[in-house]
Amino acid sequence: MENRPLPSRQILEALEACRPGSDDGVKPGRHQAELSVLVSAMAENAELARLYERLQRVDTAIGEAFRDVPIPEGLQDRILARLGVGAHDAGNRQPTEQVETPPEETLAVAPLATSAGRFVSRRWLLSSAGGVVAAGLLVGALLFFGDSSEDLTPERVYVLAMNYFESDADAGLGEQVDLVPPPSDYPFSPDVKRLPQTKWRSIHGFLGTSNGVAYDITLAGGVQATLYVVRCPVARLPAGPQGTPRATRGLNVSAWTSGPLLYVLVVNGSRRDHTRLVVPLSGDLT
Amino acid sequence: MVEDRIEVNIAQLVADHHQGVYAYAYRLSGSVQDAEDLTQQTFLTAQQKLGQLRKVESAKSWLFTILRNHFLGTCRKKRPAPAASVQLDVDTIPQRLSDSSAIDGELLQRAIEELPPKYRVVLTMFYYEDCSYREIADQLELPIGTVMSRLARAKQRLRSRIFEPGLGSDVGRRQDAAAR
Repeated sequence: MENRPLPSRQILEALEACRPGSDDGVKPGRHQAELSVLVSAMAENAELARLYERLQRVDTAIGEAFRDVPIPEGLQDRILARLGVGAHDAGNRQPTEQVETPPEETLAVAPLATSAGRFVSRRWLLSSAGGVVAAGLLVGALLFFGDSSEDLTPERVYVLAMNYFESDADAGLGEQVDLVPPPSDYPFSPDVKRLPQTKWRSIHGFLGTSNGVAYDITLAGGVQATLYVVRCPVARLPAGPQGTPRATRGLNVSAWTSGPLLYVLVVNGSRRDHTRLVVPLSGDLT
Repeated sequence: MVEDRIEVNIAQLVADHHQGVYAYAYRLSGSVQDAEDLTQQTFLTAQQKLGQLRKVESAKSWLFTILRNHFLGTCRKKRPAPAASVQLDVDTIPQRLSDSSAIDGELLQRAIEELPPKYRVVLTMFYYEDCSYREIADQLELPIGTVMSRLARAKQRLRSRIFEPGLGSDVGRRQDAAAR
C-alpha cells in the first residue's frame, strides 16, 4: 500500500470534479475527457476508488445542505412591490400545456426545467410530471385522431410534433447515419443540412402513423433537433422548409411534404438555429 | 413578423423562482440582507431585459446568471481575499457521514464566506446548480483547467472547515507527507 504511487494533482482534481449522483467518475461522457484519467486510475487503485465513493457521499450531503436555506417571510411580496407588480399578476398562470398555439400568438409561461436543449433533458421529461402530461396529451390526441391523416391540419401537425418531441424518450439513441444506412422508404430530406453525427431510429405512432424514422441532429453549440419522416400526406403544407417556422414553447417547428412523405423538423432552439439547418433555396429570386 | 417571441409574466417568474434565486444569493453573499438585495436586483434586471429570455425553460439558469454577475460586480468593489490561501488538500473527506443533517448550516455558510468570490461562485454552481465542470467553464468563460483547479481547492477548503480534523483519508495524509 505504502509503495503505491500517490495520486497526481490531475487525478485529485478530476476526483473533485465528479458531481454526486452522476456517472461522471464511472462512465464519463465523450465531452468529459478530463475524467478518463481518474477512471483508469481507479481501476488500478482500490483505495482511490473507495475515496471516490466516500467523496460522492460527502458531496451529496454537502449539496443537500447547500440547498437548505430558509426563505424570509414576505420575500415574494417585497420583490413584486419593488418591481411595481401586483401579487395578483402571479396568479394569472396560463395552462402549462397549450395544445393549440397560433404561431403569431405569444406564449405564456410554461413549466420550467433546470436545463434544456439536451436529449437527456427530454428523457428526463418523460419521467416528470410535464412529460407525463405531454405523453397523456399525445396518447389522447392519437386516440382522437386515430390513423386518419385526413383529420390533420398543419397546425395540429405542429402541436403533435412538439408534444412528441418533448416526450421522446429515445431521442439520440439511434444509429449513426454514416455507419448504418436508414431505411430507404424514409430518407433524410435534401432540404435539411446533413450534419456529422446525425443518428436515425425507427419511430411508431408519430402523428398516428404506424412507422417512420426520426433523425436526431446536434448543431454546433449543443442545440438538438429532430427531423421526423413519415408517410402521411397533409393538405396545405408547403413543399419545403424554407418558410417561417412555428416558434413556440422554446421550439421552432416546420413541416412540409415531398411526394408521399411528410417531414417535420423540430429544433429545440431559436429561429436562427432552425435556419442554420435548412438548405437555402437555389437560384435568384427575380 | 414575430421573431421568436415569448411572453413571460415577470410576476410569474418571481413566483416560480424567488426562492431558488434567494437561496443561491444567500449562499453567495452570506447574509440575509445582502441575499435579499441581490434577489431584488436580479429580478429588476430580469424585468428590464425580459425580452432577452428566449426560452422559458431557461429562465432559472438565466436568472442565476444575472445573479452571479451582480454578485461578482459587487465583489469587485471590495478587497478580494487572497486566492493563495486556498490549498489543495484531499485529507478532508470524512470516513463516515450519515446525511446532510450532520452538517452545521451556519458552519457551512461561514466556510463558504471564507472563500474568495471566484471560488464561491464555482462552488455554488457545482453544489447548488449541479453544474458539471464543463458547464461551469462554459458559463463563466474560463478554461476547464482553471475551473477544475478552483473546484478542487474550494471543495477541500470547505470540508476542512465543516468537518472535524483527523477524519481524512490515507491518500490525503500520504500526499501531505510527500508535500512536506
